[in-house]
Order: sequence, then structure tokens, then C-alpha cells
Amino acid sequence: MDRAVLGFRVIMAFFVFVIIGLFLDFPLFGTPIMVSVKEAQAVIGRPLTPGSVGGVRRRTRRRTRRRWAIGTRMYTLPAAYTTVVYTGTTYYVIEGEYFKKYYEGNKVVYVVVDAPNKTATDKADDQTQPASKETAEQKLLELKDIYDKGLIDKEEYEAKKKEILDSM
Amino acid sequence: MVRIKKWFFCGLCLLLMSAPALSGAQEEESSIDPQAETILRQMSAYLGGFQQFTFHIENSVDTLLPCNQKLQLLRAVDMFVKRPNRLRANIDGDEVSQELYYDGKSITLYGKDANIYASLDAPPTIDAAMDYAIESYGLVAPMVDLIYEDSYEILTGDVQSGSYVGLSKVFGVECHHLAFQEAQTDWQIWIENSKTPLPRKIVITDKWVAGAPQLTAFLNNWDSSTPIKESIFSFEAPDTVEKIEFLPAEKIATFD
Repeated sequence: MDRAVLGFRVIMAFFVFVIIGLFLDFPLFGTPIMVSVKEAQAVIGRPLTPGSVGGVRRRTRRRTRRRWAIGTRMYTLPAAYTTVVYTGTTYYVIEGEYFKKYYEGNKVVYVVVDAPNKTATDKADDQTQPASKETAEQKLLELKDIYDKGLIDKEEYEAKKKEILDSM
Repeated sequence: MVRIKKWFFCGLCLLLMSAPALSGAQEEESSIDPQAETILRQMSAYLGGFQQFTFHIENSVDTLLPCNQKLQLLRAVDMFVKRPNRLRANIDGDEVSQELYYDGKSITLYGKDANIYASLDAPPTIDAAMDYAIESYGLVAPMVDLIYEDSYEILTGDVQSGSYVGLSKVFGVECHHLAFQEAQTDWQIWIENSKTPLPRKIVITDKWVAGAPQLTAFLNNWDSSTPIKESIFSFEAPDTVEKIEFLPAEKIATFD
């Protein structure tokens, strides 16, 4: 066989290999090759569709917990709703989820939020802990400030400081 | 024959591999035709020199429905601007009926149809307040580019090229027609050919978005002399209106 012909065949074989590689979607020499055909054919939610099994699992898990993730934004409410007014704010309730109206630029948008009473207790819990620490620190700083300005003497300063520290 | 084929094949192969590298090597530069620049600067200086002005906007915005049908939404806006720190816009159109207030301290958007309003504290000048509203909340006043004191700077910030198209008439008023190109948008402006170089029409095209939606605005009833009542710049919430919040603009990652 002629060497030129052999060389040509080798090159042709290489290209056939590359083209088959493209269709089979396996990484050739580590290069990621994107094939969109496969994605388009995947039927989301149908079991055993290549590549979507994980997605289905995540979806079902999320669905059992909540329909819409907190922070989801919608420009129109997705279904029939009831309204609840909590401390002057209107909430739109759909299947147990609370939506609240916001302005996103000039557009009205509905955002999924925590249920209003839950939010209130959460906030209270969040605030009690750091609030007391903050006040102790603030008190000490304030006390130091008063002392530095010469409004109280050293004895008074030390006594008060001890009192604050003891209360922590 | 086979030999030629082989080298041709190898050459083609090399060319294909190097194609992405070649296409990335183009350089971008901004070039604005001197005549277009002069006219746009004249307009900018003229608008920037006003102590106060009012004008009316008739605009149409293309909207693409999920089924790919293009619809045009109409909107009429009355703008009232008093430098350095008062602004009011009445926006009335399809699916929207809003009033925008800026009184030097806060910006308020009042949705008349939805019976809601939201306020935010804002910097003490129109330019700074508009920057703040856009950057922090994505809140854009109608035709905001023309309200800045140096509108030339704002309009041409991202321009790659600008050209002078020719003379054209907008509702019977003779205008210079200018066209500009940016990476994402093309825009055109028609500026009155007279001692009062006012913008009469603006078209903005989102050229890479499917369907290339456009905003077309006609600007008329320009008035810089009739005094504007101070009361129209401050918002007083009606009793039944509900106060809501502005969502902060989504942060865009930057690398500097």
C-alpha cells in the first residue's frame, strides 16, 4: 500500500473518531464537548431519562417541603389566592405559601416570603441574643466615654464597670 | 492527487482549529462623527442650561409574548424637572399608571392603579439621586438620560460609533437625525435644527434580544419658562394606599 494512501486513511480514521465522539458525547482529550440534542430530548420528570434523575429527586424533595422557594419572584400571581393583612401589609396566600408585593424598579413583583407570624417570632429570636451583648458593649463604651470626659471619677467608673460586667 | 487532498485536509483542519482565536482578536474603538458630536453636544448644553423644564413623552415599547408575538405597549409621560433637586413624572399607559416624585430628600413611586407606593431616601441632587435609584434599585425615570446636566456624557458613555444620517422631519419640525451603535443596543435621536436644539424623537433597539424590541419616544411640549408649582414635587399618601418596599437591585459580580 502506498504510504500516502495509508497516511490519508489514518487522518480519515481520526476524523471519524472525532465525529463519533461528538455524537456519543464523551470527553475527547479532556475537552468538554457540548451536545444540545441530548438535552432537548430529555423529558424532565420522566424516570430513567439520561441526566435528569438527580433533577427529579431534587424536585420531589423540594416539593414535599415547599412549593416555591423563599425569594422566588413572580410578576403575576400563579393561581387563585386569598389575601391576609398583617400589621398593615397585604400577603397573598396560595397553597399555604405567602407572597408579598414589592417594587422591582418600576415593576410590581410578588416575592415568596416566610409566613408573617413565623417571621415575627424568628426576628424576635434573632434579636434577643445579640441585642443584650450589644448593649453591654455599648454601655461599657458609653461609660468609658463619660469617664474620659471627666464627668465621673475613677472609683465610680470601676464600680459601674464591674456592675455591667457582672450583669452579662 | 491523494497527496494534494491530504494537505488540503490538514490545512482545513488547522484553519478550523484556529478560527476561534482569530475571531477574538478584533479590537473595539469608539468613533463619533464630528458633525453628530457637535449637534449632540449642543443639545446637551441647551438642556443642561435650563433651570427648570417640562416636556411630554409619547412612547411605545415592544413586548414579546411567550408565544413570540410582538406587542406594542403605549405610554404617555409628563415630566417636570426643576434643578437642582426636584423631579416629577406622571406615567400613564397600558398596564401602568404611576407617579414618580423626587423632592431632594426621597424618591417615591406611587402606583395609582395598584394603590401602593414605595419610598427611598435619596441623595440631594437630581444627578446623584438618579444614579442611586438606578444602581441600587433598578428604578429608572422616563428618558432619564436627558435629565442629567451633562446628557452628552451619559448618552455616549458606551457608544462605539456615531454618525450623522441627515435632515428629517418629526411632526413637521426639521431635525438632524443621528445614529449611534453600542455593544448591546443601537439608538437614534432626532434633534431640532434650530436655535433651540431640543430632542424630538428617540429610538432604542435591543439588537441581540430575540425580536429586537424597540422603544420609540416622541418628545414634545417643551417648556422652560412657565413656573412649576412647588407642591407637585412632594408626595402625600392617600389614606387607603399601602406602603411597600423596593427590592434592592440584583448585585452584578465585578472583578475589580
